[in-house]
Amino acid sequence: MISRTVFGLLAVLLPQAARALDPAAAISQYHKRYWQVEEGLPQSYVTAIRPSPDGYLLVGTAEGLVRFDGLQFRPLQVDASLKLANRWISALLTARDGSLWVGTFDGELIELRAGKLRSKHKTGGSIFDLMEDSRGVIWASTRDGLLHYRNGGFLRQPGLPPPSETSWNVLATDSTGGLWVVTSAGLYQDTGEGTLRLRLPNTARQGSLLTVHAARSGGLWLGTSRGLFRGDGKGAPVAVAGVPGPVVSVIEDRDGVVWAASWGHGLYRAAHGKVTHWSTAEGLPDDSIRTLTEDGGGNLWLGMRSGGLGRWRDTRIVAYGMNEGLAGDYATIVAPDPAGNLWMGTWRGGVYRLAGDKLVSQPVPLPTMYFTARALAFDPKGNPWFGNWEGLFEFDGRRYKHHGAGPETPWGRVSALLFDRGGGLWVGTAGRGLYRFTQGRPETPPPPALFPEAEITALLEGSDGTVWAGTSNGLRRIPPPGVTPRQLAQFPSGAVHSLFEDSRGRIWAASTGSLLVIDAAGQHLLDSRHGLPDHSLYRVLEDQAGTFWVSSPRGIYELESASVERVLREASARLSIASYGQEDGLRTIECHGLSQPAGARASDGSIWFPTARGFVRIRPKTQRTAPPRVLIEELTTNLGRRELAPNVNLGAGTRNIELQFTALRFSTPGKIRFRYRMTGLDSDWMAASTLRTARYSQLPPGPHVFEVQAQDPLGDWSGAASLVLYQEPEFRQTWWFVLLLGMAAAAAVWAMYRWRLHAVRGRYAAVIEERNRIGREWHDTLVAGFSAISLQLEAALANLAARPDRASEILEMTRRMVHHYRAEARRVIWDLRDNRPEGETLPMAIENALDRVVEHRGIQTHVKVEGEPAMLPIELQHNMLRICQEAISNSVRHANPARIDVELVYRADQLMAVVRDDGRGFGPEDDFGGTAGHFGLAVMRERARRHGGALRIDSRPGAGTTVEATIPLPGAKG
Amino acid sequence: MSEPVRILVVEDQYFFRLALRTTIDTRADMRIVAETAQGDEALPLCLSHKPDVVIMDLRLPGISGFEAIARIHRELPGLGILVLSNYEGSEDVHRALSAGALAYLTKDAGAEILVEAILSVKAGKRFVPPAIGALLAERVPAVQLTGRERDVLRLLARGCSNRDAGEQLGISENTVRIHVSRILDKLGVTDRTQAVLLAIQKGLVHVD
Repeated sequence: MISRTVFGLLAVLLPQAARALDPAAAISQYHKRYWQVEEGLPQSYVTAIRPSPDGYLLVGTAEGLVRFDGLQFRPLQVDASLKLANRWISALLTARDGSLWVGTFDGELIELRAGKLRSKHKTGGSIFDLMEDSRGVIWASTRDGLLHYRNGGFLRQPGLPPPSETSWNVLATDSTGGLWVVTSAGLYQDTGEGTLRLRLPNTARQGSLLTVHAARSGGLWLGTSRGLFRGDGKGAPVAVAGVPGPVVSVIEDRDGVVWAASWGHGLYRAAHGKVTHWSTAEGLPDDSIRTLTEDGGGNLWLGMRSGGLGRWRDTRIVAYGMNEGLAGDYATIVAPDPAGNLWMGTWRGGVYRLAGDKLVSQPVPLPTMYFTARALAFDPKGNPWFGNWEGLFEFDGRRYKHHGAGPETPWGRVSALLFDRGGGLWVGTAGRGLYRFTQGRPETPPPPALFPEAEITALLEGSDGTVWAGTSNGLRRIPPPGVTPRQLAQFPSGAVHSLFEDSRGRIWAASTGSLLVIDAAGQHLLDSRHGLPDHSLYRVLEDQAGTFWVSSPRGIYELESASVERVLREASARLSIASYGQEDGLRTIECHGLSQPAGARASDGSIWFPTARGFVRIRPKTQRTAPPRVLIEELTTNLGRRELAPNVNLGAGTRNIELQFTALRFSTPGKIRFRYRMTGLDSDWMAASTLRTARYSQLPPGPHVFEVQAQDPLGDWSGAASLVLYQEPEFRQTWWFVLLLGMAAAAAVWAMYRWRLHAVRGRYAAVIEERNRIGREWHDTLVAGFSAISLQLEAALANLAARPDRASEILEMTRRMVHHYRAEARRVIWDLRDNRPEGETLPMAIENALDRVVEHRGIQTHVKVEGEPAMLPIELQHNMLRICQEAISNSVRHANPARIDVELVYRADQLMAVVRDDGRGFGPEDDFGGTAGHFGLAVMRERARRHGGALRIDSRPGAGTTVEATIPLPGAKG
Repeated sequence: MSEPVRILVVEDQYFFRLALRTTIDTRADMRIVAETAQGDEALPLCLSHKPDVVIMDLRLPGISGFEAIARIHRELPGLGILVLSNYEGSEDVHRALSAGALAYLTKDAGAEILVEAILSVKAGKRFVPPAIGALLAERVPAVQLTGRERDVLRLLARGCSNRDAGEQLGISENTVRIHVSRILDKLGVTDRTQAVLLAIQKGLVHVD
């Protein structure tokens, strides 16, 4: 049957405690935790508590039903239409087939099966109790009577009176499968023939029946208005003495301990014939407990009327203090006598000896209020010797003998004691050093002190006979006589709080933030590098499993043994440490470390430490607990909460993915650590922490598996809970989009290439054109020039014989021609070489030309531009530049000016350049076009004419020269 | 002695004009009566100065030398025109002679040849140096590009694409393509680059 398997599975998964709540312990020693509205409970009236099929605890309150994982209360994630979140829940049942039944105060019966809520029945009156019998039939006790579920509907059992108003746990099924019902008339039993018969009517003797619970060993436990009774349903029930009524809830835990809640009186425990009690006087939040449940882990859950939810559990660490009968809470010493019995000392709280589980009070030398036990050691006879700042107190079994009162006793302030194997007594003092009394008792006069002025904090005799002394300033040792001390490194300084020899003969010295381990190989200093806390460490002990326990003012630490061995071998390793605090049973985390010895191991393997609120006993671990079970609870994204299914599809554009998970452990859930990973995103497990949320801003497209594991401190990692997520690709992530993009990119590249080609071609064309122009100019100008020169020379030759002076003139002219063409050629070559800077405008070029020509001549120059300088055809600018250059060089060469001004006038229809100098000027008689060779003006005129423009020259002797060139612009050709 | 030959020089390069003057003034049997650098002044000067020979450059600002020759020849058919040009393309020679010039010389011809040509032209005789004559002979007479085709070819020589040429001429790209294929056909070449090169070589287009 599925139900059996589920149950069996649950039984395996949930940790099995050796007991439920240890009946041998006092109630005061259970760890108790309460939750009310402040801790997240919807309302502090808890009416029903049931474990859910998947391991949670379902808590019904007067304001709704919640699910508890040990840390948080969460509403059930179900259909909100039935408003379970706000209903007054009055009964709960988890059926064996995994369905959940909820009964409400207003009389509705709701079934939750496979995530679906369905209202099954509406009665007029409250549902008091729900139960499933051995045949799987669901029974509901309501104000309207008893109902059972058959063929999809609830049928009323006729002939039964309803239960009374304040009885809620009225249904029970016994070991034979029989059904018992408590009604206002008394106890009814189902005979199996479809009818119920009254078995135990309400009587004055037993009172009105309120609740019934089947006993494990057969029979019934009955709670009535008069108290707790034991019966078999036939004869008169027997009262359990000491439990007053009205008892509204009774359960028997797995150890057979009976718990009875008496309304207004608290909780009673009946175990082995003894009844103990816990109420508000002891710290229970509310004396009115309505419901009791035991969970799979053996914890006891209480639902109270105004006290909320309570959980009582056994902890591995058990406290023994004033609550358990000690006279005082300030525990200081735990020391074994030679027989192995533990003696416990306190300051002003008495001295005790451990007998079994009980602390038996021992006589003290002074009234309890005045006696502080600072040190304890046992002499060879087994007698305890106490030391404190008033001296030594020797107990012979009957009487105490006081040694060392008075100021003449230098060893009178005792802080540590040791009896060595030879019977010698070592007395460590607070500030006067160490005294060795070889006779085993104090001597007068005392021997000289060893390490005088030292404050002795601890004493230990190693198995090799070395006596170790811890001081406030480091470790000292006295080797046995005849043994040469091994060469050891400098002992570290710092106060030594305790000394301990472990099972391998290694000496442990505890200090602040460190443990010094001395073995045959040498010294090992364990500190924060290995994971130790950096505050004082008090007492080191080793349990039977080889685990080391260290007390401290901030709790108790457990050092896993394999990690200790590892760290002692390689200094770079880290210790596996678990810490224990109030959640684990300590009443205070402040252990005691001053008195010696501040902790010991008992013969049963328990580790005992003294704390500021009594002694604590750490029970040996009996079995490894299974790791907690992990559940993924919730998945939310920016698109809202997602339904959890084995496979979840995440739509495109999903962001801020948040996964919440939990582990179901009701003992110390806060210590559970988690680690998770998302395949495809995390290469390895994310670092473990106690956080129960994983966040991912975004997932790459495709399938991913999210896994999470949980771990108890120092425990194994649990199996992983996993969820498969499939992230839809966004448009931009789909393969065909990428393809499109690729094609678009390729097209863009192609287009750019073509454009560039076009641009290059354009430029190339421009370059070609330019080159063509240059070539043409070269061709025309220079070839023509050579032709002209050639003609001249011919003419010169022709005249050479007959008219030599004419020939001479001709040659002179020719020379000037050559000069001119050489300059032209240079200019053309310069053009070809593109020496002209790219961005040089005409004005700039003219300026440069001016500067070049007037260099070193001390002529003042000025270039003025009028109008908007426009980019004109290169030809035009080129020629205008040449005109200006010619005019300027003419001026410089012939006019001897002090100043040359150039003005460039840009107009829409023409470009005009005016070159003005204040030089010599010239008159009409000067030959500027003729054979004398001043070709400049003629050349300039020609250039202007070539573009359809004109040249005007205005000059007078002594009044300077003005050359004005005007060239019409192409667009304005008329 | 007979009257010196009256010569009109139409030449835009100043120094070459100078050189011409030098050459001609050295001789007693010739005289430069007028000079101009502008093509459109040629005919008016002919009319006013009544030269016997016109020395005409082909590349002139304003109207081209060919046009000037045509005008003079129309007005004064008896006037001898001597072309003195840098253009060496067979097409140029042909055009010039067709337009009415009697002689065609390149500018590097030298004084002797020049004088000979002048005297020839004065006498009304054609004068074409052998090299130029060879060019003429080389010319394939059938190459007769239409005005449009010439335009297209000119634009191609400038590096225009079919589309640009179409834009410039105001015709569709397709039409341009048709012109181009006709040009290729007429010139007997297989691609545009060859066509352009050939055209420039022959003087069919000038890269102005």
